[in-house]
Amino acid sequence: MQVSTARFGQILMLMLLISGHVAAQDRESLPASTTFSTGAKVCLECHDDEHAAAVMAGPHGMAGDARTPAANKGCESCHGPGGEHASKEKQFRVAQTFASDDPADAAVQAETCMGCHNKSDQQHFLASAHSRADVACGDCHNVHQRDDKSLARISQAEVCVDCHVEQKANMNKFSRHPMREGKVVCTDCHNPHGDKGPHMLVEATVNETCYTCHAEKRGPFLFEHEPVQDDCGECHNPHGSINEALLTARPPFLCQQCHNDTRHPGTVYANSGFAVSNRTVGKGCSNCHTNVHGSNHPAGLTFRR
Amino acid sequence: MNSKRTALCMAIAAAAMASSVAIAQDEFGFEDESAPVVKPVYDNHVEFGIGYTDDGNGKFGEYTSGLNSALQSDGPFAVGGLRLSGSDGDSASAWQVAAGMGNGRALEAFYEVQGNFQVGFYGDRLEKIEYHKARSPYQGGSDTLLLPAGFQPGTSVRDGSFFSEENIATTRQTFGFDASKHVSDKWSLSFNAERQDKDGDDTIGGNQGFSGTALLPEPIDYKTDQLTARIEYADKCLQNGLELYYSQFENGNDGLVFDNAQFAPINLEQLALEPDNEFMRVGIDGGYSFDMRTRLSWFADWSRGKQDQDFLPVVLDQAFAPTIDPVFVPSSLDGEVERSAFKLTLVGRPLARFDYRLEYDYRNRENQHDALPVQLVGGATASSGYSSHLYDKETQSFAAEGGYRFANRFRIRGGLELLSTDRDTTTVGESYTDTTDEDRYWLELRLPSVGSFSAKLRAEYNVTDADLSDETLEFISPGGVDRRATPFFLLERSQDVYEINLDYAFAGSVSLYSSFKVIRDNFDNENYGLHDRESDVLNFGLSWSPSNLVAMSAYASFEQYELRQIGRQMGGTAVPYSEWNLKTEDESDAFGLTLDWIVVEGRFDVKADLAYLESDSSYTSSVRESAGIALLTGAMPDSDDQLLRLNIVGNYHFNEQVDVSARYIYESRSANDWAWDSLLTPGVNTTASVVGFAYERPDYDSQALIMSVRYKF
Repeated sequence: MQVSTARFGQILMLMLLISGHVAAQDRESLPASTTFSTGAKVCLECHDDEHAAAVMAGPHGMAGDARTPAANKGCESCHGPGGEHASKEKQFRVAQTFASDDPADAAVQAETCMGCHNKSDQQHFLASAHSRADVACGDCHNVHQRDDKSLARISQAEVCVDCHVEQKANMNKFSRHPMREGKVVCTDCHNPHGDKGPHMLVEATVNETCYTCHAEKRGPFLFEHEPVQDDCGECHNPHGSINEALLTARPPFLCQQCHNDTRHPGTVYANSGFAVSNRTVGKGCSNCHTNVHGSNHPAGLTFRR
Repeated sequence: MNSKRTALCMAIAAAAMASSVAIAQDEFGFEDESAPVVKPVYDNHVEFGIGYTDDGNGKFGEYTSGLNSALQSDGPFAVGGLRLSGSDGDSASAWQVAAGMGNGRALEAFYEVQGNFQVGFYGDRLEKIEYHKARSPYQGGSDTLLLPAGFQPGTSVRDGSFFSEENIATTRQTFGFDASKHVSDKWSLSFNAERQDKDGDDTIGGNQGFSGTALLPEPIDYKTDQLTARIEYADKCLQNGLELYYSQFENGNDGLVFDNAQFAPINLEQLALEPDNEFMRVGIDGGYSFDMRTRLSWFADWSRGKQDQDFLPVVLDQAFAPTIDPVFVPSSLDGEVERSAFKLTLVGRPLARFDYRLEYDYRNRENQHDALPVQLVGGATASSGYSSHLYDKETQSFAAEGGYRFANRFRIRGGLELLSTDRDTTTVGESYTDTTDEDRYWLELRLPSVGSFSAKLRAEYNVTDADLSDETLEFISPGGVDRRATPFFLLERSQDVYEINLDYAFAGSVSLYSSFKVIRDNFDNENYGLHDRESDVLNFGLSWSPSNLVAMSAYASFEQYELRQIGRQMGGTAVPYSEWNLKTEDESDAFGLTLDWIVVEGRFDVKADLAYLESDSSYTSSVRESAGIALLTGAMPDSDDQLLRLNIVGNYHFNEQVDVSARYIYESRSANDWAWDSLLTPGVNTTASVVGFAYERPDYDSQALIMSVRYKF
């Protein structure tokens, strides 16, 4: 009985997979419309749902802006020729639906959007990691909605964590940036269209990105701490941590990854034991070595001043 | 002027539509092809209501914001907000004023004529509880912290009668102004000015001798001003922007003076707080598209950071070491750091199925000031002094990758990146360079889609070679004896990364995903410090939409991090103690459930969000090699944290104008942390005698109910 149930499940699964595969092939087999109709009204006669019409209330529907689809070929500005599609319904397909089953890959879809959105924050998209990973514009943006979730600070993270699932947990960790509250959002640090820095950061380096809010750490200081100048990410995980201050490990163990100097307990048991070590409780090493981000005090060689 | 421009735009649009209509009528015979009439859109509403929380301050997370801002106090509170927004397609204008009901900011206002100009303003306030109900003998809010009368150095740091309670909390306020103008169809200007104010109290360590310290309430009074101006050219092929950025940081407190709580007689100590600084940068970025599938992108910038704040008096407590002779110290650093960057990227798709990327990247950070000598009091010879260290860094990398798409979304991608980093260290009379070369290779496979099932596999291998200077090697192993740890970013290492992603859409309404990522770092470390690092992250997710009225999603995340390091305690006389191994294990599990349910279409909907997190950190220490003085052994305490958060919002749509919403928040948190708990309890953690600060990790159940009415007009 167990075997039969399993076999039944396998067959059912196979049928579903095959049917899904066939369904995916259907649209591709349709010929594309090759001639133009015009205007949104024809399209809206069939596509009369709220979603389709909503585009007219957003930036793309601003007929007063000569650059917009509304001021040009309407729906066909983005979706391509639709004349035969409109007259013969489902016998022909428009060039692009931007739906998840659109056979055009992300880069091809992006060509349409980047025909207009080719500057400022979007200009590096073709060179971005998202483009190379086949992320299409429509995967994040819904241009038919007046309030695009990915553009609103309060809801943007919901879009990003759809793929970056590990950040969903990080956002809820005990040490975190205020992302749930919409006060710090993904695009404060990253440009999803690609940008100057590593990891699609908006600034040229990790540190400069952090300094836009944490300018007090910028220095230069009389006494610098090398990893601090190297990369904030050496010690901090900006997406969230179970350790205080977004640290990648708990002090003193984090510090001991690089330091094993004399006269300091190297482990919580060492020397006279855990119970009387002022290097382990509270802020760990920085109970004394306070200015680990750099000291401007003449007696601050070891960051205690 | 605006009306003329609007009329002109409308005429162009009408002409374009009319010509297209004519074509369409010929071929397909549509009778009425004019654009649908779009009326101006208005979205105005005001919201007001009341709420109540049974346990406020410091609950509901360490941040408070938006409707939660009132949750800082127990008892009833008022909520409210206003949003006036709209757009007019004919004039391409849009506007918004939002207070408390914006998209995450407390105050937002903008007006734009799309394609012409935009002006806007925003303001925000964010409060963060650093330590809730902390207790300290020092009272915060000032740059001079004194102990209460009768305080006995050393012994009273554990006497709660000298402690008083206060919240260690900071508030960050941001105000900004945006403006942009399209000068022509190819040229545009944009400008942003922003001020951030951060005030309140944080905590900071105040060292009071080799074995003594106290955590102090640090007064925070930061102001950061930032200006960004950009001019941009863009046509179909060429885009280029020139950007200027300026930032100035000002700290209202130069230093912190505090009583030494550990050693009699009480003396004043002092530490420096972050100095004022300024930073400017000029850069260009742009690209040229040879065609829609081949593009060359570039970016280059140059920046300079400066800091010239006067040094503080060297030492107030002359009994405290190290004291240094101020005669040899300049009055300020006169510090200046320059950084430059350059990146050139070529991407192309020469074949429909093949694409590539080639990239060269250069980064340089260089101190322009000199290393300063510092002399010890009574020892004006070079051997008794020390020098500040300057760290410069130069990196160059070259990356190449390519991808080929087969049928049925089967795809293969691979690439390499060669990264070389020179780290220069400069002291007085000495300069040396440590070089690391990192080679990274990766391969990614997206397997052919089978129905709605897709899978992606990725493997990555990094290897780092280090060429360390004689000076660094001597520092790590003076006289050939391994005494110090090697900074882990200078270690040779190999890293393996494996990742698998699975997605399955089931019958159109259910989708499942899972991902598993493994990172293994093996450091070739002959000295103390970090040896191995492992990370395993497993994620599951489920989305289910049984109908257009109900959407549900759930996720589970399991993370595990392991660090292994080796150390050795050294005595003051260089007699070795035993060597030790330490394994740190951090585990974090998270579960979440969301529901979006339209109970009665057009009338009543409910949104619910449930999150549960649990983390645990454990530490295993063992003797690696007995020598000299033996290690003490004992049970090492774990630390753990649990959080349960429920957020339910119900909206009842009375009519076109009126919505009523109710929101219920429940949060339960229980945390144990040996580093913080029972710091004042003798016998439990006698280390408190040198910390002088009391803070118990959170342990609470708290709830809030908020009801409000939203009126649309």
